Amino acid sequence: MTRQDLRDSWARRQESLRKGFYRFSRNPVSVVGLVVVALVALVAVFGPSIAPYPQHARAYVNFGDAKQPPNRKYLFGTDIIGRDILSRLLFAVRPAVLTGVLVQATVVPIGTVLGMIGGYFPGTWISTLIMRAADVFVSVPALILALAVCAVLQPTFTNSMIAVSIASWPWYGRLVYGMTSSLRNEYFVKAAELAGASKARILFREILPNVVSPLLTKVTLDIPYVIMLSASLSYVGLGEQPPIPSLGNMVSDGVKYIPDQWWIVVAPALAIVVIVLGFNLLGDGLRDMLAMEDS
Amino acid sequence: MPASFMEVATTDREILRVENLKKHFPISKDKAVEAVDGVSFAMPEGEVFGLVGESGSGKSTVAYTVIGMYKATSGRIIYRSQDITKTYNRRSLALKKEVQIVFQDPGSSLNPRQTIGQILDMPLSVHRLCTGQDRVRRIQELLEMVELPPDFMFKYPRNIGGGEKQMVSIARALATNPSFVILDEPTSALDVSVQAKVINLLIRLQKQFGLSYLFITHDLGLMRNLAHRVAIMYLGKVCEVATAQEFFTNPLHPYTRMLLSSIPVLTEAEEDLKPKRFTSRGEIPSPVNVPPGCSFHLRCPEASGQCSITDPSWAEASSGHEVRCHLYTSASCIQAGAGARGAEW
Amino acid sequence: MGDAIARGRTRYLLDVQDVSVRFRVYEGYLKVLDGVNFNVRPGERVGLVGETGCGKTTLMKTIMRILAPNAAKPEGKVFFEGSELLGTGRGGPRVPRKRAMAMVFQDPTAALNPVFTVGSQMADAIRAAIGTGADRGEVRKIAVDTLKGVSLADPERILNSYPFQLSGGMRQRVCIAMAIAVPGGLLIADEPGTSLDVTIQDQILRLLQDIVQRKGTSVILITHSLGVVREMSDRAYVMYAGSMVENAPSRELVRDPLHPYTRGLVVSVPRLTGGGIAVGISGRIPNYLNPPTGCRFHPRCPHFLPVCSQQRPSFYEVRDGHHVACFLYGGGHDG
Repeated sequence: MTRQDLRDSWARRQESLRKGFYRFSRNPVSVVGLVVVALVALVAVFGPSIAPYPQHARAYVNFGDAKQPPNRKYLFGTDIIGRDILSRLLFAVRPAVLTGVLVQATVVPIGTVLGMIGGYFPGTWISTLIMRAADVFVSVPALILALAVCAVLQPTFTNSMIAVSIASWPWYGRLVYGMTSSLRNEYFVKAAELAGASKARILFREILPNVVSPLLTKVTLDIPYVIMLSASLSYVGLGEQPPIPSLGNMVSDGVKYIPDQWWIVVAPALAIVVIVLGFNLLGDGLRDMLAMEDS
Repeated sequence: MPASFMEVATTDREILRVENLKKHFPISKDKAVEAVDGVSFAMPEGEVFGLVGESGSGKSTVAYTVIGMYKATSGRIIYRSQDITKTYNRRSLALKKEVQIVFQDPGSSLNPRQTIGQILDMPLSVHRLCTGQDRVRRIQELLEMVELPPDFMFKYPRNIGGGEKQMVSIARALATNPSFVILDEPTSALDVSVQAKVINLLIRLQKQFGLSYLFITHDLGLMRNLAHRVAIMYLGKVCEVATAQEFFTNPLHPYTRMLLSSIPVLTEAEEDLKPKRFTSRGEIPSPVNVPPGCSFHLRCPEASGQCSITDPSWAEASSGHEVRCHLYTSASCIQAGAGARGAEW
Repeated sequence: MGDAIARGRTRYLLDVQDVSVRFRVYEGYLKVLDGVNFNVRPGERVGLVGETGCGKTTLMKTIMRILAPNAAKPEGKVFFEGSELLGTGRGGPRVPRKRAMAMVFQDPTAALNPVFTVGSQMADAIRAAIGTGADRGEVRKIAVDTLKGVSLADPERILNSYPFQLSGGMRQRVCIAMAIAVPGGLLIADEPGTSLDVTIQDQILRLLQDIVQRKGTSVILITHSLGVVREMSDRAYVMYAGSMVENAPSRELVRDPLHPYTRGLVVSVPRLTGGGIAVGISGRIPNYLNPPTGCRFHPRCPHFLPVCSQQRPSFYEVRDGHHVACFLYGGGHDG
């Protein structure tokens, strides 16, 4: 590859990114989603650093400032033991987003590989095993499954992520299974098979690239689902243990005090809504953009 | 200068022989779709052998069984004296290098998520032919061979036209220097001017590399100008085999005549060549319910009592021209009768 | 055959005048249709020959008012049965339009909804044409009569069948039946029978011929097959890159093509009499973002003259009824 070739391929990549963004921005709502997600990501990374009262996220008690509605000193108010809601929120976003990303990072590769194997080798024992296992996990409601797993293991943050992963992989497995089953019969796959390509090559070079687009959309749309699931777990006390704040346990603390100290529950609940909505809008935008590309 | 194609293949080495090939697709315990039901033919090296038929005739199934996509129900496929009647899974890599296929649908023949360069790289990589910079050169060579510009390497299939996609499929098939290429209606989905380009390319490559083609199409005009010999199929069986010249100037089987009479043509000369028109009758029966006796008898204007009872056997009308029809199986009908009867219609 | 032509009537059923259509895309505008002139007389079968990407589908969609949302407002005029279609607001008067103009698509399988019976789909088409108030018995009777009219035996059974239970040829007949269920003026047939076998296609085309004769319907027959055009249409247009390049009675068009593009097409058709395969036409269809200046065919034309890249040739009548848009035959701006 000459230097000119590299310049050309970089130019081509840039052009296709620009085109991609153009398609994406056709729908202004998707751009809103992108902006929100970008903000959420920034908060996840920098939140703890910019929190006005970082010590409130650890063991801290100040009954003097307790139960204060949103004011100049505490922008979102304080909770019943005097901790600043805003600071705690900024700390809580990180584990939420982290759960979303880490769970997807584990579940997607595993689910994809298992789904591809299941779809490309139908009728074999391994395919049957994988797909029936997926059926079992799918038929149990995700929250119940996650609760069961957490009940068995210690209720820690890591274990709640493991629980959510176990509940989520079958959805990817089945999606990829379906796509692989139909792709298997496409002429370009046949051409590769007849030319003598190995099974691994066919799975990873011919089938996988065609699976990525719908997968990408699903991944983006699932991140809020995962966040919700993990918030639900920490709402019932499995996940981050107090005093460490998480969106779920902040909501569960605050529920007891509505409607008088409404701000204690509204702040984390609103945060959940914003994060979920942002990812959903982004995911919808991605799906529309990829659909336009195919037409 | 239009490419002419009248020289009959000269070498005697047989490249493919198909013996009584059958492919049945079972749909229940006692019923099956008899897609291919006893097909036999042989091809010398360097020949373009055309297989013609309508839908349900089984011509594509023959192709897919020969290439190993389907498992033959019975019969033999012999490539250069070697029995290869097995699915592609069990075939050697060396055989896959030798025998290639080009499919009909340009849209799904190329992986939409790969660039043309990656698509052409696949056979080279699978058979470990050349490496590194040589491979890039080879890909450019392949593009040049099919008259496509080198910058096509970076394009995606969705950005190129149907004809160009088929050229890429052809380049991919030829990347491994095969000896035998099966072409399943490669130009049916293309416009006529693009088809002309692709066919000319195929002819040029055939002559340049001494390739043998098993060419499948429903386009009789194309067959006339491309194939050395033609076989016509109906509901899983071959009805007539002849050289292209014979096939079109002296068609014997009623089905051949019916097909020829229904094609729209452009010139008076072609109109004169066509058997006199009789409106084609009826629908094509499904390969699940093959009529007894001769499978064509329900639509045949020449059917007699015998036709609904026994399947006709082969008769040789003249050298290289064989037909399977009760009209010709009694000795008196052959030679003298066949030509005259042809003019009656 | 067109009595209309024999009588020399000039009242057109459909008259497309200088229609241009552009589509908005990322890189700019796709100038797909560029001054199309096209007409159909009552009871005439007009062939429209064009290859992929020439704009024939866009033209039909423009006439039927079903263009994609990113199409800029079309220029030019389309007159149908005397009234102008393009100027009217989007949607316009629906019932008269639907009754008078119908389209039969290329792939009959895709045009029929697999989960509804033929009967219910035909009922929809009939009701759309005659008004939703009609009673079931009347609609059923029309459906049965129409199916008989397309030579389908046992219409009652077919009305109760689902599309997958019918063969390709039968499905195409059903689609044609739905299009002609209520007597109308114009039937647009987009490559009818192309996805079917030659013998069945032959039957379908003869059916269309029969319908034209019996009902006086006009047919626009879109096809890429010159053979079909010659045998099944009275008059034909050749379209290239968004405009008409030639127009003549069908037999004459095929016997004596004037425009270099038409010549290229005619020569590319393999003959049953042998003689080899022509080399086709060099080059590709133009990029509609930046189409060639002047005559859009000039980059591929073996008879290129300098004026061809400077001006667009107008549709010039070379002989009686035979028009060409080519400077080789005069067609300058002074016509």
